[in-house]
Amino acid sequence: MNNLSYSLATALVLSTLIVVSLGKKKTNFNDLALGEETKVFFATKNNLPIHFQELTFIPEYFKTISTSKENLLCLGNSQTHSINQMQKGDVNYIQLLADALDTKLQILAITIPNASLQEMMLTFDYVTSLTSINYLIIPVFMDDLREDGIRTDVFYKNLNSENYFIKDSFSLISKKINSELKTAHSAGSQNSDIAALKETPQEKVETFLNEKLDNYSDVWKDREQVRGDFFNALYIMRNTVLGIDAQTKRKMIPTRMESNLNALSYILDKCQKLNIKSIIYVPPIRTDVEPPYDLNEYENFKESLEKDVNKYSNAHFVNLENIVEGKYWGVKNATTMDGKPELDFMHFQYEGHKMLYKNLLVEMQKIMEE
Amino acid sequence: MIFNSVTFILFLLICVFLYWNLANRARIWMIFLSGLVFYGFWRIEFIPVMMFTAFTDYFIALKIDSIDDSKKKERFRWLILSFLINFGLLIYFKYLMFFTENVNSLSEKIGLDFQLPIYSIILPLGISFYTFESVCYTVDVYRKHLKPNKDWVLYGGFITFFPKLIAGPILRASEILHQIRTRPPFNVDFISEGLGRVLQGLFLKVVIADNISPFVDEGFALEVAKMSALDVWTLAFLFGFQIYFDFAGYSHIAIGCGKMMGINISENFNFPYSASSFKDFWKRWHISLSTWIRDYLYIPLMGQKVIDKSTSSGNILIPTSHISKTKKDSALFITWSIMGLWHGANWTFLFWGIYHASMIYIERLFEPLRNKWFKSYPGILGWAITLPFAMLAWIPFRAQTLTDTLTMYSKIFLPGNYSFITMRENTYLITFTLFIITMVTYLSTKYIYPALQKKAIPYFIYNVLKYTVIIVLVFTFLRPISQFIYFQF
Repeated sequence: MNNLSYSLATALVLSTLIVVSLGKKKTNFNDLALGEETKVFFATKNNLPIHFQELTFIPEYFKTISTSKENLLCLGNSQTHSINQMQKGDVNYIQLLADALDTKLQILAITIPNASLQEMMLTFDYVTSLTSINYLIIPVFMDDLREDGIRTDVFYKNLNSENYFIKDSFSLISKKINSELKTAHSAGSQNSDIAALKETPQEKVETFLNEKLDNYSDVWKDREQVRGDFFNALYIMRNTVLGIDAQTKRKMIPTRMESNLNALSYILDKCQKLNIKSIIYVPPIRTDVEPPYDLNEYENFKESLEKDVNKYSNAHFVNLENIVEGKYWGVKNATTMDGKPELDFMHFQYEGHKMLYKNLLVEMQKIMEE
Repeated sequence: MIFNSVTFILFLLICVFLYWNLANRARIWMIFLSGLVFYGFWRIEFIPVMMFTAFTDYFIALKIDSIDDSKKKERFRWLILSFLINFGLLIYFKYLMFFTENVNSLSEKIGLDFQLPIYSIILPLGISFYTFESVCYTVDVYRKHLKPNKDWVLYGGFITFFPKLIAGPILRASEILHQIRTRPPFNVDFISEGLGRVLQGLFLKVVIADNISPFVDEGFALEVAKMSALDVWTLAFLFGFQIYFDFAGYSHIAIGCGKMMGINISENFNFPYSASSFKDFWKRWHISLSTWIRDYLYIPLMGQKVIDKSTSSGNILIPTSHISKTKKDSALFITWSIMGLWHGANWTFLFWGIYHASMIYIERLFEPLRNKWFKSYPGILGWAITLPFAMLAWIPFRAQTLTDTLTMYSKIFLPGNYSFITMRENTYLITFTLFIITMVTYLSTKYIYPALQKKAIPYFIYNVLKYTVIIVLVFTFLRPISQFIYFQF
């Protein structure tokens, strides 16, 4: 036996020990993204959900609601469904709005972490294809304008159906989104882990072997978790090496911003056509420290957003960036190796939700009276 | 069957066990049949196509050998028949759709009311590879470099030998038949060396190439007109790394599987991105294809006779007589155009071939000047010039159309396109990191590794650390989420 044979045998033993120990660690990636201080909250009405993170539940939701009331659709990201330092009895602004407007209309909220306006466009298009919507509320986050396309592998991974394609496919942005969905649709398999084996005899054998391994070994079953931990470790390493934290200024990516604003135009065009009254707002951001944006870019973003929204007679622009005081925000987990908690610019406490609710209620009352 | 799957690992273990335990004849049968099983795990209905190709050449080679040397024309006619059958099948499966689509498009453009029917044809996996292997067997017999093999099971085993069946390395009968025929005495080092290579290959594929892939897909899905010059360079490098790790990964696994059975398969890669010229690049990238093309296409096109038994590992053949410049240049461009089209039926691949031919042509033009002015032409300068152009050459390989390719190229010439980016910062960061890792790996393999190998304990520790990391990551990432890129060729 040569040196390599001994090395490989030793490596096999060592790697087995490492793999077993890695499998024991359970990370909650939802907590990791939001931070330990922040918890999720999804609004309900009469014990039935009215607030979702996935589109697959929406057809079921429509079976439970009244057809005589007007409908308000609220879109958003994790700011909507998260409460920092959540106490017992705390709720989010969707719940507060739903309770306050209960007699006049019914609310459906769909909020997706880091949702770009393109994903909101897809969501809006899908919902309006199922029912008539009377009012719409959308926050436009500067941060999420850096995202692009539809994350077919995350939120839309189960949407293996042409039902979700954008219906009015005349605009460039619709074509772009439909092309992404088509690619994901043609890739097809519900189990993306064996996507390369689609429609081959090996597909069945591989599925069988994986099921057996899943049943006999927790370590094998937990590989997705270990992959997540691996990428999280790389992310922390990147941040540490490059000195990136929550306060690092993020530059705008012009083409991505343009695609997202095109998506917003699509939504507003469709609102005009379907006579949907909308509120487009700049969401709260903490004002006790400088925001993680290039200040010139941030100002330009707000100005151009207001200009775009004001082109539409039934769309209302509101700037709510300053309504939540610094003391109602919090911190999130460290994203660098030093382990120090970092300022959270996205998720505020219950008091913040109350302030946002009050402001949105005023705006809603205005447009309902118009 | 796909290497990056649990099915394959189980299959390999069974094959290796049987290989070392079966009696000689049964072992040869096992190699032949395991190849069919391996292929059948993709599509059973295409096994007859592969068998037809293989046995056409088996019988034609026997026929050619049986004809007296004086009947040169008759021997040649049989060779042509082999070409017609092999390349006829290749043209039907690979190029017919491309041809009909282009004829229809041309007919539409010139206003003719004429359209050829378009049939949806599935490309049999590995057809470009096994056709080349089968054809070169007949040519080698015709050239009298090889005696034909009379054992059809052994010959079938050469064609269906599963490690190299789908995407090479393209082997020649002369280097593999005798290895299949005679098994060496068992040695545990065969297993460890082979396993090491298989693990390295899986690491390159499932840990690196598969994780680069989403960034490449996202980048090439962008609207080309809006890309910046930095995007184009980044995507060229990033796809260059993806295809290298993907294909080199495949070759490592193929070589490793062979080694586990005591069979040596030629190396297919040798740090191609360290090449100091395009000529050098093609001695380091897909070596088995470039040597095949050289021996069976380029040299005959120059009117030269192949006088030596060349191998797929890259032995150089010396020209037998003077070759005119025109002949040499035209052979260069024809060869590379065919090489481009071998990769796929698309204008982008033809463009890719012509791009490489042009680069080699330019290098030839400047050779006298280079020899005169830079007698000790520094390799690093050549590398600094070659690498960016070699990476740019990957754009037509990945872009959807020739128009997209040319639009992307046009971006890099305008200074204004260097002032913005359109992708997430991570894409640029990952590309830069891969570049550094590739170069550090090359330099350490060249300068540190040989010294390390001489010291038993440090070498042991190095291997333990290396393979521990590799095994943990391969275990974590092993899943057939994507095919190997070269499967489509």
